[in-house]
Amino acid sequence: MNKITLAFALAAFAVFSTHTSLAQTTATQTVTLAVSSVQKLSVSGNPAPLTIGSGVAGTEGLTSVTDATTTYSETHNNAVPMKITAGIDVALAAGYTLQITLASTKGTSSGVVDISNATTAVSVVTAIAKGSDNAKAITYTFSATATAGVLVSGTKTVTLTITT
Amino acid sequence: MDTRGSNAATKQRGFPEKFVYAAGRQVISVIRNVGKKKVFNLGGSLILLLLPSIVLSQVTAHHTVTVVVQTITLLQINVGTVALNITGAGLIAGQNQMTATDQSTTISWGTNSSLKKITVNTNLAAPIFAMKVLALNPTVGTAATEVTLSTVASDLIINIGRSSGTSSLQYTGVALASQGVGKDTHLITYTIQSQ
Repeated sequence: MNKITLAFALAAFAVFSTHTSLAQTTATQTVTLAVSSVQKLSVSGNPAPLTIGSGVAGTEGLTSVTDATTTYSETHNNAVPMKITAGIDVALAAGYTLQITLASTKGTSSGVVDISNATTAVSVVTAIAKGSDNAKAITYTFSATATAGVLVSGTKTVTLTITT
Repeated sequence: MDTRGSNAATKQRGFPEKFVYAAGRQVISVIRNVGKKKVFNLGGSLILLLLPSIVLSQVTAHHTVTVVVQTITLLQINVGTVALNITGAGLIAGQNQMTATDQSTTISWGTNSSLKKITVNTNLAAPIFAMKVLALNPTVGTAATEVTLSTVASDLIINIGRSSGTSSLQYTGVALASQGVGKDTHLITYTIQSQ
């Protein structure tokens, strides 16, 4: 074996090592978080039946009744303030009045709103800023006149809507 | 002339005779050290070797072999991009916080030196919304508590000895309704380093 061949043989067996360390010590990843426009509204349940059963002699208006056992909750994240409207499915006959009041901390309550004929929804809370209101009181008031007569028990559907 | 006595006398004097046998074709020559004069005969293609009385051929040879294993540290993420979207699905009215999660990412590592840890940080200094990351089930090491990402590196997995391992990662995007709409893009860096 000549000297050149021997040198190559030695080199082949000489070193079992890498010339540089394997050191991929970092890894990167792109993560995006996108938040879309969100609106949520819910009510706690149905109020108890509103039953007028008394009055004052000589007074046309019978003794009205109220219910404040229900609540509503809302969430929205829109930059533009939103509002809540209320509507009724079928208008009440003349002489019967149904009113609604929604409390609010994120917006401005419209106070007592007559929805007796609100087959087209009317505003009950306005200028609601983004965020949330939880379990705010809803108050229903039902009144009638003696002239209106007896109203056989029936149901009405009141729809609350959060909208721009 | 009677040379027998002369030959005998020569032998008696102890002159060494050495015989060399060459493989193959050879000419056997006798090397005689006659004192003042040495005679040897080389013939053909043969190589004649003067053999000492002890073993002459080299039957072993030695190499000095150097083996080295350097420090090896590897880290890999299986997914290049993750997208989280908060759309309000599952949101309960009256709640301000909304979330979205993703568990599609797996982190893998290998190290032959101890003791290591994996840290995580984002390049986004002022995100609109919070982004959290949690190692769900590292096969080696201990998962740290869920990290809310910032530009400062935080421990994600600790107590990693000489090993190779993997872990699923859970991202959780958190947005408040009061923060409005928008989009954050994070470049998240994972680093394996000495603990």
